[in-house]
Amino acid sequence: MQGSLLLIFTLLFSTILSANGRDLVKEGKQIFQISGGCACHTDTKNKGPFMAGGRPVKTPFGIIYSTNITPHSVTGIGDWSEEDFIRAMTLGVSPGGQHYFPVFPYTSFTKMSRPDLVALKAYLFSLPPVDEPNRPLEMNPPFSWRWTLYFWKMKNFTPGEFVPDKSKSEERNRGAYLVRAIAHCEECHTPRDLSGGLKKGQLFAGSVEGPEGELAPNITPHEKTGVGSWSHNDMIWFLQTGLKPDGDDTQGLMSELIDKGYQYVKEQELQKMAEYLSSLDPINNKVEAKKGSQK
Amino acid sequence: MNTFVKLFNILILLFSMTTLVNAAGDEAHLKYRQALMKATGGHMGSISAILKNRLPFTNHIANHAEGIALNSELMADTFEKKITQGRTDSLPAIWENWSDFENAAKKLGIESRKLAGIAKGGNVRQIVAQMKNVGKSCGGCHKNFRKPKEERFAR
Repeated sequence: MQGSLLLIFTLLFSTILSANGRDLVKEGKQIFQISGGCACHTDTKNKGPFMAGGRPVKTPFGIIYSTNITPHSVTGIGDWSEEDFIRAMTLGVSPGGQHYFPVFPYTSFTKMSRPDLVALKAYLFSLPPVDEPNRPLEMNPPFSWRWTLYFWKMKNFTPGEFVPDKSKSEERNRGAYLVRAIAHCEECHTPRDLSGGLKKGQLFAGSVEGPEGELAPNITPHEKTGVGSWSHNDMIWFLQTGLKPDGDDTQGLMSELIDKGYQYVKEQELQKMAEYLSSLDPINNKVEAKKGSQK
Repeated sequence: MNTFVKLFNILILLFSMTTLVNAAGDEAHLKYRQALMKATGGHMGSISAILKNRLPFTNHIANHAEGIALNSELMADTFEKKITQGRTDSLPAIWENWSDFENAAKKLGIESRKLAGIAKGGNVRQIVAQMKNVGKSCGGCHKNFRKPKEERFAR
């Protein structure tokens, strides 16, 4: 009798919990996947441990090595509080008060909602901690001076959560949030000015100097220079498989983002991302290899 | 002296003609190589089109997959001659790591034949899953043996 009562009580209690509580780790994993699996934080080429950093990210200002974001209490982010994490993601400031270089795309992550950030932290903290010290950056002054980022942010960074456009549908706003906040597509697919800030009038129009020196295509719906000829199904299929409409596969960092992240995203979410990208103004910007690089 | 100069000029002319003939031959070889890869991409694009648009042609997928497998058997032959000059995106790594290149082509054949087999069963989920593996085998070769996009020739 007592056993039956205990069983009933446990079932009732767990039902209430699951109805009101969130599976933060599961939610966080989905957000992690939409972000492209945080591919920059694993040194894949040198078979580095998952999320333990050390991946060199080449920029026009020098090389920055990605950081260890496993929950290791010394070399990772294991001793970070929730506020530390949210501050890093949304303001680009470390728990110690230092400014992060914007190769860490807090300029997009700032748009993420607090519940999504809390879930993402829960997922990252569920990963095995890895003892891997962060590597010092390879940059010369004045680019290596973090304090200058205070001024960089004044020009190039507008912190704040995503604000839905009330004139657009819920689906369109969801697509905008996914693309601009979590998947942070514009960080790679937008050309930058001399200060390294995004050229706001050319969002998603492609860049010859993408991350790691890679060419990032124009993903506005321009017919000739962008993805205007791609259907929504083409975009979804591409994000699921890395295969372009002509049958060719994508390489480089994008293939990693698909492999580690986008391929696991729910199709309905990919559909909204495709719809958002299709709704953008087409920008005529032919992104091609720099002259002299072809042998 | 005159005779020597004439002889020298004739030799230069013969050498130039040989070089031109070789260059023309290499260009034709390159075009065939690229046509083979384009044809393979065509099959990949066709399978993708069927799957992503849910076209009523899943019974065609096995044929396309078999086409990819057959093409993969021609790749080692087609790439055996080292041509790195001209409008080519091939990396010298192909000939520096020839056995790896051959194995990459074989891998494409294996995965695409698997796809052909799975496609005959008609289970779309399984077909999509295997299609990803075929895509990965394309990528496995391209990653090591084809120029990165910022160095490729525009086509």
